[in-house]
Amino acid sequence: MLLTETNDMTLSAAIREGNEQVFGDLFKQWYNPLCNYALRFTGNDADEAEELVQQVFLKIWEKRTQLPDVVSMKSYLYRAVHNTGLNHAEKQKRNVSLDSGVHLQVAHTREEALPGLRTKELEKAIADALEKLPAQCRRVFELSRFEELKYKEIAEVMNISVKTVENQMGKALRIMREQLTHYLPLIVAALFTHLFRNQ
Amino acid sequence: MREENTYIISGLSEADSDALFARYMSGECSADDMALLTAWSAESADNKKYLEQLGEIWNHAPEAVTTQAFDEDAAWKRLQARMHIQPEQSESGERSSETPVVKSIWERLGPVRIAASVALLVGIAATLYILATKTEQPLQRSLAATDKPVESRLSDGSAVHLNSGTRLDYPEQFKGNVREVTLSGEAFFKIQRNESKPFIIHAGPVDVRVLGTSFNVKAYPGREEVLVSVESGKVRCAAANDSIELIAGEEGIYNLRTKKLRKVIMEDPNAFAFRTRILNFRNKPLSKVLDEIGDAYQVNFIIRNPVLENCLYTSRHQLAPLEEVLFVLRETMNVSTTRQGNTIYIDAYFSSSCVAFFVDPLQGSPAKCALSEKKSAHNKLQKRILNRL
Repeated sequence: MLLTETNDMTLSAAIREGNEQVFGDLFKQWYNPLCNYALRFTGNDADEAEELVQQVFLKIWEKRTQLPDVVSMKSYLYRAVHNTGLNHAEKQKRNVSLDSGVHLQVAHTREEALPGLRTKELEKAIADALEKLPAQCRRVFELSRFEELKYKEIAEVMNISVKTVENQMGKALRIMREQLTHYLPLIVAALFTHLFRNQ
Repeated sequence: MREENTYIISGLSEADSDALFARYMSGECSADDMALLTAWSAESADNKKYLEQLGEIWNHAPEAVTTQAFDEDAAWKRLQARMHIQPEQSESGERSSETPVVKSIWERLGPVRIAASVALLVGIAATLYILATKTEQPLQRSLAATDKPVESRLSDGSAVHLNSGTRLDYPEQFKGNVREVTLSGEAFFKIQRNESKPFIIHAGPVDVRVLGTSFNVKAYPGREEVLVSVESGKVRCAAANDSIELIAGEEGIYNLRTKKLRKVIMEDPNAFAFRTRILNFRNKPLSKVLDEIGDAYQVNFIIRNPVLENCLYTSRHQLAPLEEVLFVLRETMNVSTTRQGNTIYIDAYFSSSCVAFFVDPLQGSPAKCALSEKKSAHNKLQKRILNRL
């Protein structure tokens, strides 16, 4: 997209030929987003998430001669992490997936946390609403909102149709809004305060 | 408050209405979608409010999940170690990680040993050959600009100006009938005229051939396009059995995916911006705008709300520091900019002061809409800021 619109076909060819430099650049480019995505399969265990992503890349490298011409490397990698993640979650029999409560933690990455507000309460409300979503619905929403994948990419990652992605997204937003109705005036108020403070 | 589940666009089912709302939030709307949504949101205050509320959820959701920073460089070193320890071909898919096998590197190479020996011999032979013939070859040099632009002169008097993240390979002396260099990245060239000895730049798949002119070549590895923008004189570009001639004010674009070479009239002076620091945008999609600002100031932009990508942006900057460019962007587009190292994140304010964004998506970019809301809180704020300046 913006910064590194890569010619993915050329990229797969280079990896097939064993170009370690290209492979390393690809790894570094996607490592952080992929690890963060993997966290959703490891119950937020960072070490396990890293290991999961490492395994995905190691496997690609070992089988590089069989690597097909990948049209979208991004979808390909997310799909690999997604599938490995599902297997991992199943193997661990921890059911960290959606139905048993994953404990979503409050993120501190945003520099501009909403001031003058019961932020924790709000974040918890959103986290709760997310958890209440049906499994597929939530995965689709996460890939769209947090991983910023296009519908087409989500469809490729989850092996579902774009139409299903659309419907699941619609459902996710509607359910979340129903859950959050009581908090919404709060968010609007907070945003106002935030805007004034920020300027 | 109305009953739930009544937010349905007439003519659509509930599921289709929901899907349309979601498409809008995630920036996947078509023009038809936009028209439908515009009409619907104008129907009632409740409808408007509904879209606003979805926008709030959309905007705040990322705060509710954990995001961590992982060290990709350290991770790459770990992976590299594993890549080199594992055998080249794994016969069985599964490998036991509990029993690390300690073997010498030579043993680990296994069947590759013979190949390695051959490679070694070839290597030695090649080195000897190169050493033996070295005196014949002009000494190759390379110039690299890592974190800031570098200016230099080549032996023929030509001036080169390398943008950061760029590497130029060239001979210490130009011998033979041509002057040849290899470029990876972006550079501005002012070539010393020499009719009998054309200057050739190998920029990825594109060869640029000139006699004496000034022009800019943008050929960053991994990008989809190679751009040649001519400031003065005449330039010949060749790629994939095709070639075009460019004159001042023209731009040659080679697309690596389609393998097509085409010529366009340069719309603005932005191609030279890394050197001139002059940027001019007229109704340009934000994603393109940010690409150009990014190239000029060597930063990366990430738009976190895809809906912003196609918003049109107009502004002009001359020798402005990056902070000033970002300030204008924030104030006119109603976005925030968050810098982390070389990456700048762009976020939209989906606030109620930007109601128009949800109300009338057909009217144009959110920025324009927000600004048309004269009495909005945001506008008052802008005035206050401008007064302070």
